[in-house]
Amino acid sequence: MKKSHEELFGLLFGLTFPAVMGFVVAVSIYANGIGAKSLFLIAIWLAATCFLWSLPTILRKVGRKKEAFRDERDLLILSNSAQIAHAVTWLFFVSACAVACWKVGTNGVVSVNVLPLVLVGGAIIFQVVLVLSGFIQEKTGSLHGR
Amino acid sequence: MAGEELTNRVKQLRFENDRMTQQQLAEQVGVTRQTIITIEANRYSPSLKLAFRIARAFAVSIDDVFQSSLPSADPATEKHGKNK
Repeated sequence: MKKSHEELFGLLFGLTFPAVMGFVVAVSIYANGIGAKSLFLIAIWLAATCFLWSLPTILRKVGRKKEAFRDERDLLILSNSAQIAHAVTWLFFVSACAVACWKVGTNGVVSVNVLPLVLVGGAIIFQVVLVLSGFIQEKTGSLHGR
Repeated sequence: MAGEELTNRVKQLRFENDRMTQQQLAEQVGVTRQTIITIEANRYSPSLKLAFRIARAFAVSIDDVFQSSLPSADPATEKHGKNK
């Protein structure tokens, strides 16, 4: 498989898998509330996402390829992406609070099921922004003066 | 710093060293080929460590590989640089 194909595959899989599975988890939590089943789904989602992230490293170890595949530039891109993802996730949380206040008013009530939904939503947004901004920097970004 | 431009002669040095490929240089200095491509295109400024490794791979000093548009603080060095 060509490197460009690997990147495209990684982007599509890295974006869609956490997003789709996370959406399923979020809907399940909203519908059934927080319970053993929901916690189990969250644990599976987290484990699968972590496995997905470490998959390239595992494949390289198994293949025993000599060339480096993550270097200082990749770490810089990851660090920049993580900062962007943090900012966007916090914006999402603040907007969720603002929307809740705006929708139900200051004396209104919000279903408890909304809370884990917002938490999982934040995690999904973090993942998606992390992968997307990493890909954009990889392709177009200029990393001077660091 | 604003207006500071870093340039490099990595591509030229590769050709002067038996037409070394980007992959060969990448393997020698322990980075990916993509990083060598971005350094050559002036889209990435490498760390001091990597800059030294690249210079060592070509058996030249770091000044021979990377140049800055900033004027030197030392007038003697500046003069030396111009005479070079």
